[in-house]
Amino acid sequence: MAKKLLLLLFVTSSVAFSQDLKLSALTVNPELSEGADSVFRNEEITLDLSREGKLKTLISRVVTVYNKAGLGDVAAYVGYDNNTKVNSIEAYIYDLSGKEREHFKERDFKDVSAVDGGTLYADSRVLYLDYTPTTYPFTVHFISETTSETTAFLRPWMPLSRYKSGTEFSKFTVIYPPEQTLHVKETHLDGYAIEKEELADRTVWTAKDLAPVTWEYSAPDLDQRVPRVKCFFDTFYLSGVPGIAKTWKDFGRWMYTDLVKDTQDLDQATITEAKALVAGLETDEEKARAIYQYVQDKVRYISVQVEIGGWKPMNASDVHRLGYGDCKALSNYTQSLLKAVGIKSYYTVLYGKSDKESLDTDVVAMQGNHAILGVQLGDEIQFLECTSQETPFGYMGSFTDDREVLLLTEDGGKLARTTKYEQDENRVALEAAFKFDASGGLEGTITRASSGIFYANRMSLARLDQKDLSDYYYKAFDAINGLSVSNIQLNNDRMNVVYTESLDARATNYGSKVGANFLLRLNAFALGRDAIPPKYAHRKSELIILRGTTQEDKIAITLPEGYEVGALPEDVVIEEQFGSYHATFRREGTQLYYTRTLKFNEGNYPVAQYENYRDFYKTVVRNDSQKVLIQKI
Amino acid sequence: MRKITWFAFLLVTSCGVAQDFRFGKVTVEELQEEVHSKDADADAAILYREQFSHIDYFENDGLMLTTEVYERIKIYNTDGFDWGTQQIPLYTGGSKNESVGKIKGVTYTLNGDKIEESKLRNDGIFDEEKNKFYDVKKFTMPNLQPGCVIEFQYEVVSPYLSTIDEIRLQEEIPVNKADVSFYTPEWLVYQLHRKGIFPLDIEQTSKAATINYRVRQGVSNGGSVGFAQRSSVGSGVQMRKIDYQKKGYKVLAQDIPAMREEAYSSNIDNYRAALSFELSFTQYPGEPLETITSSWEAVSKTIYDSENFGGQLKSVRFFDDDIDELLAGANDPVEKLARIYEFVKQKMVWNKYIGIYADEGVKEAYKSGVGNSADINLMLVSMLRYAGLDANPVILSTRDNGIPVFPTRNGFNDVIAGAKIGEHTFLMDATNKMGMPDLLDEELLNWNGRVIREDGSSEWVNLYPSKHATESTIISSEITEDLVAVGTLQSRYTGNYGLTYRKNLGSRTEEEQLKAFEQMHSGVDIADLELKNALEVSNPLEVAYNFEMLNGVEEVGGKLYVSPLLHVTTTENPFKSEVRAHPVDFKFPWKDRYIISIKIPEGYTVESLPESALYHMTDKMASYVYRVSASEDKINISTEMAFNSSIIAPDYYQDLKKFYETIVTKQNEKIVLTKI
Repeated sequence: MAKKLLLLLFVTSSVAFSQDLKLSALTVNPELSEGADSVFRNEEITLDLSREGKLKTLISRVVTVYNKAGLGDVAAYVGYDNNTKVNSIEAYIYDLSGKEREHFKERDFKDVSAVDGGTLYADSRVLYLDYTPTTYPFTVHFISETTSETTAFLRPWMPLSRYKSGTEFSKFTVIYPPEQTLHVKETHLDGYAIEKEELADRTVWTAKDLAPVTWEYSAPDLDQRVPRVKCFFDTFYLSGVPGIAKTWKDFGRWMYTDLVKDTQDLDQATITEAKALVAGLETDEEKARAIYQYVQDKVRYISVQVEIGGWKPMNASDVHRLGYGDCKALSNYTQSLLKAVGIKSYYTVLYGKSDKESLDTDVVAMQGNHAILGVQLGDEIQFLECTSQETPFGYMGSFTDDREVLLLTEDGGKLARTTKYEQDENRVALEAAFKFDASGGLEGTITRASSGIFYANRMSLARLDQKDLSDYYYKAFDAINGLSVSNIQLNNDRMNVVYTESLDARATNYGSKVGANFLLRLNAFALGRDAIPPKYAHRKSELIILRGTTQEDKIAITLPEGYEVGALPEDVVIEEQFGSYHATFRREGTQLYYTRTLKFNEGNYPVAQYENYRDFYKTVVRNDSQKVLIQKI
Repeated sequence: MRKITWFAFLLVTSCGVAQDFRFGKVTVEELQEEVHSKDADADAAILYREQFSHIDYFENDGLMLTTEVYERIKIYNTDGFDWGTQQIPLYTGGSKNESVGKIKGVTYTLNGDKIEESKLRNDGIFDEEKNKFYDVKKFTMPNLQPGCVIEFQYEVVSPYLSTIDEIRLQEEIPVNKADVSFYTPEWLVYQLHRKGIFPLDIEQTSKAATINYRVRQGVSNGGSVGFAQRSSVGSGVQMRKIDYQKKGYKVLAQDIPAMREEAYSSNIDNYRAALSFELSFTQYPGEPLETITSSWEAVSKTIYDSENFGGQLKSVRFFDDDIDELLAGANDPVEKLARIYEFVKQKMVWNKYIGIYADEGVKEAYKSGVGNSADINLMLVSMLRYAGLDANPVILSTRDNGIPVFPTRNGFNDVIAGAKIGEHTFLMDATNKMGMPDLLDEELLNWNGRVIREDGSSEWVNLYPSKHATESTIISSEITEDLVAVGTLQSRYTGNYGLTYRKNLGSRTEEEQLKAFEQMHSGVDIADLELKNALEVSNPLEVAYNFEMLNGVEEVGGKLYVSPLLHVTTTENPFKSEVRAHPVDFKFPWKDRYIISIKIPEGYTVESLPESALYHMTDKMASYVYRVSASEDKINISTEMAFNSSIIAPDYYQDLKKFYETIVTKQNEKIVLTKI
């Protein structure tokens, strides 16, 4: 009887719980649904770490969905793998009035491999709900529970986790043994109704009534704009393997000892081969270059994620034999070879992303999604991207440049920053010499040299076949209507990291005909109107220019016999905080000379500056398109 | 005699030159080759592809299809490395599964003039359980280097005999030599399908063969090839044998060029040289002939006879009351059709799955309000028939699926409804909320569909719309003192234009719609955007807005130069490549009309106008009309561009390119205004 009562009590309380939930779309606070695809009505996420080495994640999420775009906001799925078990998963669908329409149990969820196209093998799988709504709005209640042997990655709490989605209520609970110390990093909580309650065995955050945010051009990522809480502990488990965080030093030492060290198992023959490669070379840099070139010639990138949740590199000896591996395996292999020839280098963990995302250095925990190699050359560290067969020695593209990374040194972990390219280095220098003919056509040569961050954009051009290469220039120089290119020469100076292209160009009808005369735009590479950043009625976020850049154009145009040029436009000088624009117009006999320098300054600019930034672009576009009248004499 | 020697000599030499395509017989010459002799752009080449498929009898499993694959691939550079990874999908969703075995692979590299071998081992072979229907066996070759040659072989055994998957003879890299063959006992008769532009010679053979098998006494077998069944009854075992003819198909092909993607193409797969086989009938010894497919008629009938297709059209009881009520007062067949189509469209939600067979079943779908395309459109057919209309399902192949060149069940992957009223057949897709009778999503506009009637007869029906999609735009504008062109624009979109705009804009917020138009005509600021008839799909979609255009007017030497077409100028020729291998596919015929008026600013007068002009493509495939005139205070421009044919063959590519170039040049000519 007592048992029955208990059960009854339990049932009653859970009913009471669900009655508490607002399930009807009619009761949504209109301020939160304005412009939203969905509204989170009630989200409760609990991370239960009370059992040593286990992470139990409970999710209960009630979302009202307004349209197709909001369907994904429900996130009615859980990922799992060999170390993560799905204990339960279910979902309820409620109609407009909050009446239950459907109930999906675990067997109704689809079970598929979660391996992306770039990966050959991984054990990740996902259970997801494939639901077609018959009508909008409707409300979903999604409930899941998983248990993982990995406690190294604690999902951050973001009560606003999606663009164009409002939140009525969100609660985040972290339960942990009292002997553990919970470290917390909270960002952007100010200005929101967020409360925090700290108890002996748990910490609880709640948030209420958060209005939706939308994606904006050149703005910070969502997680840099909205409230976020990151939690971490001094110790953790990675697929059952215990690890230490505490300080970056300890963490790095652990990672090196437990994940990396014993995979560096090159045999004597390979070591001898490596030594032979550098025989006769004097400096460490020469040797390192020789080894890096050897690796680039030998290996290719193949992603296979097996050992320790994909965090342990493949053995160096296997990479040597197979000639492939992922970023971890290839960095580790390169490091092993360098070690064999007496050069010190560091396995380096970072975020590989084009937005310069740094490791969150305040949060000592497993982070990052990529590995590269830092080579100690004297006092300097040169970073090597080991997954590429064409990246020059020491070159960092936009995927890895200028960000905080973690080096695994023999003294433990150490934070460092990857190479940054300054405004002067990020340079595209374009020179063109054209002849303008009496039928309105243009013919001549174009040379373009790219360095710094722009080098990466050109690096792979030689891989295009002739047709794709021509098409590439038709797109790159689309301001020249009717362009045809030939005699394309590509010069990849990997030593100095400068990429030079030269080609012959011809365009019929470049000049706009006006009776017997022509209107001629001197800047054949003018920015088009589509370069102007989008307009926002109410932009909310600051403007980010990630990298300073310099673009220089020098154009010479020879006029045909029997024609003369009318008045030249005046030189242009514009200086703004985010950049500058200089253009000059000259004439010498039948020759016209045009120069133009466009610079952008790296920085974060307040939202109020955004309209000025658009205006700057508009001015550039207007000045770029300035024409001169070519008159028949 | 001399002749014979000469001939024999020729034979010997040609043998001597020919490459040896046995596993392991890779040569130094193959490894030394730096670029492909006929295609310098090739990243890799298939030196030899052998696929040997055969159906054999196994005592425990019955008839099984074995496919033995062997390939030798040359890799010229690192971009060719992708060919070092192979994926073999295996169907596992049935009672019997497909399996792959005998995987063997070797990478050959050159060290000086010595050939070195790296063998594929188990650590390079992976299994992925994709979902409950498919596993994928993957392997990746070791030690790839630019210049290397790889060889691999494997064998797939499958219990599924109804189709032999497409055997590709053409790839995105050159195929130097291919040897493809398929053998089947005479009891299974296959239809051979070939596609692509590249010519293939198919040799057909027939050879005597024998099957030996054991029969347990007491089990009547009647010589049937249902002989896979076993019985535990009886103990004596007797050997029996069956003589039969083994039918063979063999293709030897050489120097098949690489395929390359092009912009404005339909599915490139349509042009690939490939073979496939589909079981058309079976006649086992002592059993009657069973037809499966052989012709378009037979395919259509087979599909119609399926419970999940024709079977779905039989019951009307679950909807008859609803339809009676819906049709109350409607006598005109077109009116009935419109009401029923609208009813199904509004009632049913498409679950985004397409198929020719009902998934939920029409009745179940009617109840739940959700279904796949067959559930929904077969329901529509059923209701139209109930209303007394001559309605039939039309099966088709979507653009993704390619063009159904030969009669196969798998060639079709979607179904819509057709209803004939008078001489006209209305085509309808009720899964598309933005659709209308005779207005189908562009993904469905792919060559022909096949209408299947109740009696099993069938015929082709053209899916392409006969009417142009039109844009009619009126712009009235003026030039402000600071030389900005401002004005108002009103556009009407019909046909597939309306459908596409509704699809892309319908679910967006006003601000997003506005941004979409600003992006379409970059450099204009748009305000007061108004969309009319966004949901009333039977009316043209109407768009209106005010705009400010940044650089439509330029002042050079005291004169004003104005772009007549303002922000709707075509500034770029979309066709830039010099050559074209595949047709350009616009998906539907279209016509864009602009009527523009520009007010002459105070204090200026017209100095010159561009000349009016008229251009045509060959055979009137396309035309362009351009007219400019000036009145006292206004300049009037009207243009019309029409493509009457939605597919332009590669032969006409140069013509097309020129046509666009001429138009772009014309549109970029200026109006010149001078101060009075």
